Amino acid sequence: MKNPIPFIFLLWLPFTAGAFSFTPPEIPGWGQEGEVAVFTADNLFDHINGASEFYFSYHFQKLWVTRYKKGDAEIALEVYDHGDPVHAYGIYSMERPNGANVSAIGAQGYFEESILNFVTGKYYVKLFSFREPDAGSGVLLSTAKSFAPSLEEKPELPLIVQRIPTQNLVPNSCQFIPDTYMGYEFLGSAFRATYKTGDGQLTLFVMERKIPGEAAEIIRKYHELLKMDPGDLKEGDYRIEDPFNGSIRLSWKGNYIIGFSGDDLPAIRQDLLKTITDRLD
Amino acid sequence: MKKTSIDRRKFLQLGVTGAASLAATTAAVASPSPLPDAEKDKIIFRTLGKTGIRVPVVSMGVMRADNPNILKAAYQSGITFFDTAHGYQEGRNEEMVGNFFEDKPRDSFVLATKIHPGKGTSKEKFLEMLDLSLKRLKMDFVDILYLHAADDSQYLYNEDYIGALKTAKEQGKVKHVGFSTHRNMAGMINTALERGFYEVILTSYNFRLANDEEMTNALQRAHDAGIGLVGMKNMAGGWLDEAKTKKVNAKAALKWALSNPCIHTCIPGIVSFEMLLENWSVAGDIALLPEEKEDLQLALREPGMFCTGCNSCSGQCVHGLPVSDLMRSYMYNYAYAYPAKAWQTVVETGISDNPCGDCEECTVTCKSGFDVRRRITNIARIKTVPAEFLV
Repeated sequence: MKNPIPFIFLLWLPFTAGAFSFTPPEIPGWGQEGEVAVFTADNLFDHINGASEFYFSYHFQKLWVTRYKKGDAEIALEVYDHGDPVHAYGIYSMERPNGANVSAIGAQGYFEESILNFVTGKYYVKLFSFREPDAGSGVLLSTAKSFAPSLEEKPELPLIVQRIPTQNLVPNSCQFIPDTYMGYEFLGSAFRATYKTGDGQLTLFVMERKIPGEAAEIIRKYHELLKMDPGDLKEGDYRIEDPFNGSIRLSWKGNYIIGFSGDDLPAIRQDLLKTITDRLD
Repeated sequence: MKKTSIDRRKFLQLGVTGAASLAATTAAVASPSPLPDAEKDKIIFRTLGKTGIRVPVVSMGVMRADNPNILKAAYQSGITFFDTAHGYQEGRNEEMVGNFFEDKPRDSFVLATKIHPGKGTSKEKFLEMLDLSLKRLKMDFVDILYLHAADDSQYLYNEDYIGALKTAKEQGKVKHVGFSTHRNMAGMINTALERGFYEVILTSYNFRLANDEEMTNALQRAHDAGIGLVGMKNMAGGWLDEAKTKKVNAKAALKWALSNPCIHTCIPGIVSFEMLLENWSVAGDIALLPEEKEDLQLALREPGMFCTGCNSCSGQCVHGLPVSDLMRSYMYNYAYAYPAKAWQTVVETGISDNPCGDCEECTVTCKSGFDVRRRITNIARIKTVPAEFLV
């Protein structure tokens, strides 16, 4: 072989394409135990069992697990790559407890006595401790705050989440569902948030579709499912009596479908619709 | 409670009137009234071994916590056995299940959950995890508690775990105990038979195990011993190829699993109304149609990427190559995108750069249909890549 370099380059290129170097943080006073364990879609089950199916629905790409020890105390750091900030926020939002006291850890996070979870960029990060008193507010919080910038320098919540109206919003109810919203494959993904007043409770959902015609297709399919005539399909308001999900109000404008389910609260619904529509414009 | 038998064709033909009728039915609160005899006769029931629990052959794996209406529709359809786990969505899954069943008669459903005790989990800690599950579920007891994802015989003999399960039963918090397994299933089932403690086993079971005599025999022995057997992962991943362009015939796959009378029920993960209808339609008819059998035969001919670890290739190579290790290395690189691990595995085998060069024909026959020679030739090349370029 006259010049092996191009050949070797071609030989190793498939093995290195898309390589990302993960460097675990140092935790003062703690020693790293063993190597970083890496999991992909094909062996994530070995780490989190059947819970892995849910992670796949949120575009799980890769997981790095690092373990630390200090005497008989242990910390596990799990960094999940979900491919993009929306899906990372989505899995985080679905696992976040209703009563979580969230704060600015990465884009958002919360902690309890021995766990801390946060989302930043395309990463969902989970920290666990064992036999370390007050770890949540202590070592886990300090580790998260120092480590987060290495994953994403300018973390922010997904744009739609930032624009969700906050009056009467049930805390921690803003979530992203990646597909099969309300149990229908054709509905695809949606952000949703729940609002509650003394008169009742409703759910606002927002679907953004960037491909022309996709929003119209959703409206059409929803009508077809129930053998309803959508009429002359055009941007505007629709009402669907869904046998499984109840009365659904849809408002289609441009690339967005704004929807409501739950109790019939016209005043709150109109107010939310106006607010979110203005913010999305 | 009047439960509606939801037929997929009928559902798709719903008009406004039908939808309204269905909405009224699904909105009804459950009561323990028996199904009308005619409808009841259509559903196939089996008993979970000596537990005496009688369930339809199609049950539900509660996969996601975002839509309780799926759970409601499943319950209203006639599904009575629901499966969740302590670790699903950090507890949100159990909470959703608990919220739904809070106002339902306790004897109208069967609930199974799973706990995975981590390394060093004591009996006390295990029982704390169970108490947390019961709190989320808003129940005084679960019908079945599984040790989650047992793949090691020692796991099933762990005295702390067994002690916790026994105490849970004594306290009335658990009616029956078992374990779930998705690896070395036949081995785990045989271990359970030896140990003689576990009453229900939740196991991966699908058409890809059609020729696995060890698994078939293990299931038969467990069934004969009165162990309840629940099948999961019946769709074998749902896809026939890595690019996910060829879908498994889900209905055929479920029927195949249930064609084994040793499998008492299956828990497909149901995340949409369409999936519910498709899976539930099998509850009254598990006979495979000719075209469904053909689809499964075609599926069996797709080799896929994943070495099952059966080790049947052991000793077949005339040059003594460690075929199983090299297939694993191939997976690490091409399926797992983990070339550093692939490199390490290949280097540890000590093979040459062109290990198959002397052979005109490969003597190894892989049960999964892998082209062993091609894969070994490809993966051996990784040895020539400097380690610092790999991750």
